[in-house]
Amino acid sequence: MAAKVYFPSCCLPAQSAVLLGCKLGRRDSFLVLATMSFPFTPNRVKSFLASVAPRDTPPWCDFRPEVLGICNVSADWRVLDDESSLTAHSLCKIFNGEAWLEVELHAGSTSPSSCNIYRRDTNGHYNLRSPRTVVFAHYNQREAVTVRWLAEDSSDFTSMEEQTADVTKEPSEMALFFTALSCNEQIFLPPPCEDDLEEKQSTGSSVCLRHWQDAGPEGSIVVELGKAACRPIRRVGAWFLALVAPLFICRLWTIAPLPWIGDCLSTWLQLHHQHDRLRVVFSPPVVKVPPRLTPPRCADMICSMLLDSLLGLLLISHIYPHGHLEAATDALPVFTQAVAGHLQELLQWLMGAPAGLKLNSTLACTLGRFFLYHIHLWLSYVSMLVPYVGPVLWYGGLLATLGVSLLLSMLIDITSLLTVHVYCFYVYAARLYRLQVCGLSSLWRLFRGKKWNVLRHRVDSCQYDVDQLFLGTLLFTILLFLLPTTALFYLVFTLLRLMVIGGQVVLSRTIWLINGLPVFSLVQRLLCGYNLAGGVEFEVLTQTSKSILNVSMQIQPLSVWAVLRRFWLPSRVMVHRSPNPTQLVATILSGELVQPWYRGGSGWG
Amino acid sequence: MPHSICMVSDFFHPNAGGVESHVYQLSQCLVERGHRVVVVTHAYGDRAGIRYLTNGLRVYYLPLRPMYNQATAPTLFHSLALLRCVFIREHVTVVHAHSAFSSLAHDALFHAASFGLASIFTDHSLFGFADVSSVLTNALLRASLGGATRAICVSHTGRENTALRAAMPPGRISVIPNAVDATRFTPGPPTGNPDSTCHDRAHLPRSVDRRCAGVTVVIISRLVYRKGVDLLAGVLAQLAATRSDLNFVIGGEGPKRIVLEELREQHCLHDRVTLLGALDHRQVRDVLVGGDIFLNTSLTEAFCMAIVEAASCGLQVVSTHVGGVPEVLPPDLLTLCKPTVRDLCAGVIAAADRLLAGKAPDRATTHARVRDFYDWRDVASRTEKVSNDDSSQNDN
Amino acid sequence: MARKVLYERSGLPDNHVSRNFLETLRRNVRVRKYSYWSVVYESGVVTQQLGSVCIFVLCWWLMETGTLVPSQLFTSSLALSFLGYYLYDVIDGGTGRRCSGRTRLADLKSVLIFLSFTYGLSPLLKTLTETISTDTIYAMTTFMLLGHLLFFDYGANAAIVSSGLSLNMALFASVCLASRLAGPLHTFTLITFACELFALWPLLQKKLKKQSTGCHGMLTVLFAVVVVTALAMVAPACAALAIVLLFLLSFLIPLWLVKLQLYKDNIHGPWDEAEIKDDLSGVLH
Repeated sequence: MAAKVYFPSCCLPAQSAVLLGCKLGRRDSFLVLATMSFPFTPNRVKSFLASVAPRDTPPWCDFRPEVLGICNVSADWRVLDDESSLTAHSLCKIFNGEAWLEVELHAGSTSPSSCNIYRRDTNGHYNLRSPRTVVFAHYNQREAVTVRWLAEDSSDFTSMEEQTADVTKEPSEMALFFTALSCNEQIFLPPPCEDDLEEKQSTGSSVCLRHWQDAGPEGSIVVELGKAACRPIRRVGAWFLALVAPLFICRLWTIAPLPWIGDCLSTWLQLHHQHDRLRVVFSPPVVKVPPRLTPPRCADMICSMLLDSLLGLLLISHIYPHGHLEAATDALPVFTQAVAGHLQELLQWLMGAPAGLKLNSTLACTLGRFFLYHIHLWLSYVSMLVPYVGPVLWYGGLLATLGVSLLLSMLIDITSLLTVHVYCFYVYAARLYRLQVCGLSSLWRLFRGKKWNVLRHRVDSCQYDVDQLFLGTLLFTILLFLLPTTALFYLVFTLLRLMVIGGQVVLSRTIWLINGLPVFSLVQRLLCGYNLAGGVEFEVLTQTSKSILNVSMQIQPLSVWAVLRRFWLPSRVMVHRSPNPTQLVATILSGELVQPWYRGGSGWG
Repeated sequence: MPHSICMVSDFFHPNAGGVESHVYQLSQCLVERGHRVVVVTHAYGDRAGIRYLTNGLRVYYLPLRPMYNQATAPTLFHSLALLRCVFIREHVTVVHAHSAFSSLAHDALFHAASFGLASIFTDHSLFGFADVSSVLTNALLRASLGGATRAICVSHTGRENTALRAAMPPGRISVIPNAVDATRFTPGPPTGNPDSTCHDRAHLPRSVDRRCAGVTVVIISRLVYRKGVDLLAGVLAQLAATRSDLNFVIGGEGPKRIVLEELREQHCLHDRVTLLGALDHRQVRDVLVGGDIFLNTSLTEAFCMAIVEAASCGLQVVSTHVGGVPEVLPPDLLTLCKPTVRDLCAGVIAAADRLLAGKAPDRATTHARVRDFYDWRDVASRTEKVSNDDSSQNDN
Repeated sequence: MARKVLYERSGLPDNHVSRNFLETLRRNVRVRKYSYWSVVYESGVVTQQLGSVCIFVLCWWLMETGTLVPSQLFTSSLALSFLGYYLYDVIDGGTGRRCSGRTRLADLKSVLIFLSFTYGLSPLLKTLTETISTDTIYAMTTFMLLGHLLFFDYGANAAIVSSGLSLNMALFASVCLASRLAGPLHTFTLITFACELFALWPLLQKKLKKQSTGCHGMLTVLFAVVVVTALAMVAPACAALAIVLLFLLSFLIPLWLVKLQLYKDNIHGPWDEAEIKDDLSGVLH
């Protein structure tokens, strides 16, 4: 197997230097974090390395930085002072690592000419154990440190621990690479060294490192201010939540019909969802709220809520001043009247000979009149409500400050309330149809001399009396002739109900989109894509000798689709279960009630 | 001279049944004799492609969809490309098709004739001549067997039937019976749970050398009309009323199961009649050794492997006198009855009385006799002789 | 000559054809020698059923044209039913009633239930086919009555026989026709009449046939005469057609059946599926 050495492209030394870094897992891979120039005191180096060792390293993998080896820049081989009598070969004995690298580099060249790996055997001697090829990967340290590795399904410690606990499944090398870099942040903190050798010798204390933060620690003012502001904001948020929480976890909501009503109202579900979100965001860090909340996810949630509120405010600012609300209030009764009028026309059409179909006129008339009476009732109910509509809409619209999704869920509820009559008609027609279908199937079994055994859930044979057979025949004939009429009414109302459900599904999907869109991650991906790493690409540079392959490692950003899939914000309340088409048709044909499938929870009867 | 034999049938593992086990056992014995054998059948669900069974027996599960009753569509040409591929790939010299219900077998016979390969057809069932389905199937058989060079039937009655149906000269039909794997069907205690099929009747003291008091009658068959389930219902009703020491164990599943369940409920026979449902092939032996008498009420049967399996386990056999059943076992091991309720009841009662009087034949002796009668290796050698005759005739 | 057994090797090759090959083959075992006049006599069952259907349709036609008043039909059919009921018990001297265990009271209850239900539902029944065109009704009725004749239990043990289905088809046809009449009372009367004719009359018919042969013959002739005369009064062309049809059914078709027996060629042998001759209806419902 080839050995791999990951070398930061910013640290190519002009003079010979010692390589600091760590070994990646059990493989033959070395990660160079920084280079240290001569001269130095071994003890000082050891204490420095101990001080920058990562504190929260996972037990399954050792990412402690150590002295990996030495990089000789040829034509500039410096033999150290005789006083210190440090030679390259004794260095390895001093630092006593498991392996020792010796890299040869021509002055001015970017690719090393040779790389030897020495392994320590049981006696403590270092023997040359170079594999046939060494892959020398140049990586951009600035990018590699600031990036988030997202190629596997999860990149936090807990799941990687599970992965390596199972010895057959090791985390991939790239995962180890990025984890090692993030563990060893400390090594990049100390101040850069002076080039002046005498000054250093006089101070005699510091180690001179070269890495990506040579020029001093970098950071962004915004990020630092944000981090500083986090704590007070969190406190304020937690206090606000404590105020609002009793509203949601009150015992009152468990009393009998209220949970059922709560499940039906999309507004209530959306409020619940937003409360959950806020709880997740503002809860103190010690509380482990699953899934484990990382800062970017937090940012996603906050950004999505802010976007929601922003859209809501925009909408309010557009609607309220321009008098659209009054127009809506006036239009509402007119609209309901129009809908009722259309329904009446539909019923009159059904009572005649719709589409030339031969319906039983008596039954059709009866059903039609029954439904017309209901429309009349409903119109009177609406006319009672008209004066209250204005204020309700005005105050309800203000809720849009909490988010446009809340407005949309209110719209869903208003639609449900406005189409109560369609729902009622559908239920009546479905029940009647189902009664007829059940009756027909039962009587059909009667003719064949069979009966449904309720106890054993199977069809049994049965001896019927003569009068039962007579009556059965008569009833069967009647039900059969009346079936087309009932079926037509049922079909029409089912279609209306499906149309209403369809509209509500559209609104619900929009809410789901608004709730779930990971705005922050998406923007991050679109603006500075390299921050989210989806993979690495190796490009071959040169092959200076047969034993060394020089490659350059480029970090590939995660694709937009993968970002969406990965960071989509989950929601427990708005569950989408798309219905199976065959099942839907079977449910309709058998007369069972179609449940609105955009609702989670128990749904409506 | 080793042949390269291709067994074709719609019915093979993972289906369980008479034809399936016949094809499998015959293939294994022929492989033992040094021939190359492959099996071609249709895909069962996800199981498509080439699989390997014991001794490297290659099975081709062709991606054809079964239409009705586990058989593929009888369109003749939709399997041509695949069969041709198999024949060429395996350098097949003999095509051996099984079961007249299998349309893949008919296709293979037809195509084998056009490829000039020797073909043998094994017929496992008897057909009538009077009803519409029989008339059509017989016409189909005449067409397929026109190209077949030889045929094998599992009983003499079967040969007469095939000769009439297919208008084939009887000299080209050989009678080679099925066999039974005597090492699997041995008398003795059940290898599974010893109490699972035994009815303990402590309140009926009987002779102590039997496992349980009372006489257990075992019936294992598919519960369809052809297997005489209606007759069985009548027999059960009468026997349960007249003899209180008889218990019944019924294994198998089918559309007529409801008849037996209703009978059980009507006459309150829940403690005396046990319905086991579909049995795995491995469980059959355990159910058989738990009984004393095996009852077969089929209305038509070419060979009836179940009888031989039961006799191999040492049970007394009572059966209807239909089809090829009288040829299967000698009269001292097999009680034949007319297909009426009264006669069958009399037969069962006679067998039970024989058992209670201690005059029933010894189980081990019965098993040894059956083992001598039927052996798969013998079947394989006789089949090989047919193939040899076939290919020598082909060469000529 | 080797024995036909599989458990013994006879030493002969497997494809050896012995002399007793196909010795159990039988031809035309179940061919019956029909006697022409007995076939003619038995064909009376079909004639009678056809007659019933014709009488029913005639009654409907007469009610439709107004010649027959509902009350007349109702009283006459009720009277005939009582007569038939009395005859049913008298004919076999009460053994049938004792066997079945039905009391007079149960019979009365059935009748009352049926009459009340039909009377109550007759307005609904009347409106069932209002919107359907007359041609469709006629077509449906014809189809249903043909089906009734096809599935009727004439006493033969064939798979196609289904007495329940034939009764249902007849009642269905009667509902179709009855709904075309003038008022609910007409509907009620016709349906009651149809029930008596298609459900109750065959029971008496079967009993009469079993009891005395002369009765059956007389009934056939009676039916034929009644049908022809009634048709002659209504539509002479139909009467002529009826005569031709009856002649065909009673005389020509039996002749054809007897002649066709010469061409029968059935093969029987041990391979045939055994027929269950026992009566398993007690066990199998």
